[in-house]
Amino acid sequence: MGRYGTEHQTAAGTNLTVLMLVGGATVRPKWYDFIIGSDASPADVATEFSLARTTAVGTGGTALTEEPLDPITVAATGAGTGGTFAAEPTYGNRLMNLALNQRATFRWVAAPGGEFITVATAANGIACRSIASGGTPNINMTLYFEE
Amino acid sequence: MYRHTVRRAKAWASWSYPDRRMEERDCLQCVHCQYTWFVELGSGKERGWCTGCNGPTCGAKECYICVPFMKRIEEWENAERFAAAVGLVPK
Repeated sequence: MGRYGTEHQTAAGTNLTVLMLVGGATVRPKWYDFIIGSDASPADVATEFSLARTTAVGTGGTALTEEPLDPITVAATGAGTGGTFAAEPTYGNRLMNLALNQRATFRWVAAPGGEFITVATAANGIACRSIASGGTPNINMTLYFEE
Repeated sequence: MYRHTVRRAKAWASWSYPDRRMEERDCLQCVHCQYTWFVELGSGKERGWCTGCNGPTCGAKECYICVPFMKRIEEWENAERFAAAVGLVPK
């Protein structure tokens, strides 16, 4: 089992995925820590985020690099993709909702046993998206997961 | 610092602001679907409690029946394997 980190930044909007992690059929990656903030010029823009399971990967997006936190760990099996997508992933069960001011930085850390667990099925994963926003500020997201 | 805490929290969340004190909250998680919410004392939101799993539920109707979330995940995986085996989805 290894721990990995990945990050991405993209503009907020209506139903725009920021970051998605797909595990594949052999592993169940677990989200245990993530940080959401914005590197845009400070402004009062409210954005609502939703974390949910995904059952189809959509098209487009940017393939992300998953960096192992321990350098000798093998490469991650889970594959991260960052927005903006040409066709958004298909969303299923919600895992968390949160609203955030652009000036704020949010961090979520799971207690042991509280990690978000991905379904070990091809094209299934967990993603974070902005579901509504008062503007289009750049959203930065850093994700740590283990598998 | 504002803190909303709970025993047996499943996660911890924090909000950092440039002009305000940092806010921290513990999170609870539905034992049947993994939906996670921030503890808010006196919010008035109705949740549930599963005596089988000995943990909180999110309050959604589909979570009234006791199906631990790991069992639910395995059921999804099994359904997908079956669908692949009979040719309903690509292997």
